[in-house]
Amino acid sequence: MKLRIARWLFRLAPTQTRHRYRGDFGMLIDDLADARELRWGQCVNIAATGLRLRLRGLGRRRGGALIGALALVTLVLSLGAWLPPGNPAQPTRKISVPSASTTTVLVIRRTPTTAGCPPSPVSPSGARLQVLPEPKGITTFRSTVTVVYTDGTCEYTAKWNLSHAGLLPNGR
Amino acid sequence: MSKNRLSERSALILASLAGGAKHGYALIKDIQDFAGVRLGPGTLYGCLSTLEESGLVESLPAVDRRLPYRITALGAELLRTRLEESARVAQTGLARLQGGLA
Repeated sequence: MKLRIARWLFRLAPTQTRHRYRGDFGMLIDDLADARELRWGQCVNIAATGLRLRLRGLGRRRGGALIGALALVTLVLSLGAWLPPGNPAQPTRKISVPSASTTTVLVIRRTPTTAGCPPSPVSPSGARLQVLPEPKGITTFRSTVTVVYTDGTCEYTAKWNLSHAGLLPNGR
Repeated sequence: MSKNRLSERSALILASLAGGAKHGYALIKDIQDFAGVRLGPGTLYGCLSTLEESGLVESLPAVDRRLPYRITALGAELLRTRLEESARVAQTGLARLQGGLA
């Protein structure tokens, strides 16, 4: 196992070094294994040296930039693992969303009374309410509803409850 | 490679090769015997590649699929300079220690 890993880790070394010393390195690993002197620490040593040689090949500036980027990624991942997740956004109990609220509901069964609009716009069966854009994390909001009747149009200010997907008592 | 950049490990490898050509495993064992330092395989080949690129070490034809390495004249000269410097520092330090203790 260690023999295989040690050989494999030598691939981390720069190509030139690898090609130059591959056979000889393999023999050294075999010698160490035969003498029962191959340790995990030596596998780490092979990996670390290979990476160090590669970084040296990149030059001081690019190598430093790479190490800095790796350190930054490690820091971000570590912080992400250690810090508790933030509280999820609590649903607002009552928020006005005028820009996302104008919805037209067609009602054809009822007509405005002669005195004006009916007190409550009742959705007909099969009518579909769509709020664009969909508010996220909001369950209750106010909106302006334009109801087009067969002989006229009425506007209502309504309170919507998305959890019930229906109309709550409204106001004019 | 200037003499100032000859690392401790490279100096150990050169010192080992000063006693004759050796392959990888023999180098590790020899350095462990005379210096008490056990070089890892990665460290060994990292240093060997640097030393070979600098012309301080050269490889010989393979023996039993193992490449023996030997020190070059330039490597020997650099090692001598390095060891003389180290010896001078050691002698001075030892002399001062002896004077201070007397």
